Amino acid sequence: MAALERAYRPKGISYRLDRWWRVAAPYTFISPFYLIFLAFGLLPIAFSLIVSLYDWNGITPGGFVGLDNYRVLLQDPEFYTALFNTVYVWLGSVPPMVLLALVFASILNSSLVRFRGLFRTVYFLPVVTSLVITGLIFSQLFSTSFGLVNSALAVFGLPPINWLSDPAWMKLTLILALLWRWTGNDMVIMLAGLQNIPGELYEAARVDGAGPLQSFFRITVPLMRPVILFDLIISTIGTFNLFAEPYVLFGPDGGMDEAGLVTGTLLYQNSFVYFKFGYGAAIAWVVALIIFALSMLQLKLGGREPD
Amino acid sequence: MRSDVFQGSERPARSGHALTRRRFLRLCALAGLGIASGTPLAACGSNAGVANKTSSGKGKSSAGGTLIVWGFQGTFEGIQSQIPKFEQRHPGVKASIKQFGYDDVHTNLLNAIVAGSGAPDLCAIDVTRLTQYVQGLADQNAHRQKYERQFVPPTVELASYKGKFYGLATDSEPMGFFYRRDLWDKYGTNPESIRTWDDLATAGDEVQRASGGKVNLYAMTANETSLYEVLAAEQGFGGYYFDDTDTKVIVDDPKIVEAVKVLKRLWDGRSVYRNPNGGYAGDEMTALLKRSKVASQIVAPGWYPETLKQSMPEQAGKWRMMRAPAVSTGGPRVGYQYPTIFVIPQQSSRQDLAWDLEVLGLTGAGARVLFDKYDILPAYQPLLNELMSKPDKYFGGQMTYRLWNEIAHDAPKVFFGTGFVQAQQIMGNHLQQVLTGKKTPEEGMQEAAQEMRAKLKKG
Repeated sequence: MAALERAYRPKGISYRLDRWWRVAAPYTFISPFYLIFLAFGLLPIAFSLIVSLYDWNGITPGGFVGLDNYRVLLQDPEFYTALFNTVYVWLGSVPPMVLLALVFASILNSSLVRFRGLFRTVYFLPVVTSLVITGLIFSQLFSTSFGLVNSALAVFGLPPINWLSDPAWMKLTLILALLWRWTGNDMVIMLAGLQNIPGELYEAARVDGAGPLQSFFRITVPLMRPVILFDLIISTIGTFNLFAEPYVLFGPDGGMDEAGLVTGTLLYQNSFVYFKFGYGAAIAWVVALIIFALSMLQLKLGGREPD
Repeated sequence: MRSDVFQGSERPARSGHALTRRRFLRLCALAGLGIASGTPLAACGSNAGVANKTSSGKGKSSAGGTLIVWGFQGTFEGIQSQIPKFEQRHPGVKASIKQFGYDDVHTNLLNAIVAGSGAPDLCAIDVTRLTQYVQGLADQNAHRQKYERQFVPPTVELASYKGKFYGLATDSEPMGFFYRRDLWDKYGTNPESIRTWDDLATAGDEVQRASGGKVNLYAMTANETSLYEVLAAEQGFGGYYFDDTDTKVIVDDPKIVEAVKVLKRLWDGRSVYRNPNGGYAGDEMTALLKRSKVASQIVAPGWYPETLKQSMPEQAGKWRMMRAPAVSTGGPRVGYQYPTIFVIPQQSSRQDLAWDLEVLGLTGAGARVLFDKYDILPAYQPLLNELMSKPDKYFGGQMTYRLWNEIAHDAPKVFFGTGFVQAQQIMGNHLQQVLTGKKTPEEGMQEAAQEMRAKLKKG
């Protein structure tokens, strides 16, 4: 026993260093990720939380205002307009986008379709198209006087629609732009999920007399539930952080009647146009809480295993 | 991390001083928290010295190196043309231009000022944004007197705030009214008879009838504030949304309400094309003018002729320009928008050199290069004086530069106070409500004033 105690007794600085290194080595090796995450992830997040308690214009020293930015935000009708628009766009774009992505992915996963690689590339192209080009294309397509969409409507004797300036139509234009741009992205996620479903299940279903629709609803949809849930959550986060499309189509102020103002553009406008960084940070935190709550709700509603 | 990293007898003994994984992680977490909580607080106060730094016109100067200039299209070209001359004058010093988009210049300058480094030596900014940056900019007041007479009023005044002067303007932006002479003649509208906005609305009814509804006399966008600002200037409010002390909101003043009623009358006119996408300078408006669907550009600033000339060269000789109509008979017919100015950030270690390059680029040959390239109305008075005697072929030989000069000189004391950009946004929202009939002008302006007072913390 005494010999053992002697063996464990500290043996000078090299022993201590050696012991320290044995503990620290694994962490040292995994530290680059955590250091980068700390510098570019955690610090900005913590910084934004602290900034949200200040009235700070970015240049002169900020004055501490406590929760005042949050109080003003929760009384700001503009915030509720942006939130309403965001929820509208979320409900209008995410369910059809997920459904379309699943349908397209199922079709493109079928061995009956030729040139699958080409179609997959074509569907994915809008995702990698420059947003400036997207903005230009949509501005031209939806131009009131000279746009292709209104010209098509005129063929059927329908009056022109002010897609980009009429508050009643602006959100629909935004939803269409989002569907065009992001369905291909969701389709790739769905495709990855579909390729993990064993083909034997479909063969067995066919032998049992199931048609393509029955196979889709009885095999594909239930087995794809985790992927669909993942896609729904990712799309929800994306929609609540939406910025580029409404900015390009309607500008940072959200256009006519602020019908194109979403939480992302409201945040940008306050932070980088009005230089109200404290208020902008408060918007970011409230939106983050909303996203968290919605994601939890989706997980709760959709997270059960298929029967 | 599993604990089997330590095996057998190598497992360290647990004692108060021994370094365990838990203790190591706790130390790291504490260090992280220390950094996380300390840095933002320090950052919030990191510019505490900015406001206190004094930088007069006799700014910092250090020899050698490269002078960095940031600008957006239509601002930096005069400076760029003078770089060889500048480098010859200052051996060993180089100058380099970095071109950004309009929004990016403003965001990047802010980021650089916030970060405390990375700002250029010279930067183009919209004069409406000046008050947002002044704490990070060098005061050039020592130079003001020398250049005051060389630059068109009110550009020097607009580049000043609270007794300090921040830079020279690249252009001047009085507001004019543009119309197609041929279409006006065809549908019986006499420009001489359009003295007030009400005259214009009335004339629109006649154009609508005479053209069988095919041509609109003018176009308006409900939430665009350009036209409102002209009317505010005509009513004597050079701050458009604020009084001349920049402390009070004035949009519920009876004179402003009167101006908004005039806007409503224009909006309700039979010959108005409503809400072209992108507003008066957007693609749809340009297409409407090009296809002769709209016969006038109701208000546009000094750079607008270039848009006409580039987009509609085939309409050369058909266009004319006049002063914007007045709110009431015999009233002022003026308006002024937002020139670009070149400012010198306090971070610049070569402020004297930067000023020298600014002067070279925005006066004399530099100003001429910018004008020749973009036909933008110059702020440099000697160049404008020269142009005033030249007829403009695109406008049927009209002396447009003389007219621009007169409008600029007649403009009231224009200034763009703190929160100007946000005030524009608030006004746009309420104007739209008024024009589309959801609110009366009185209600709309009262609510706009309340929102501005609350959000901009003014009286």
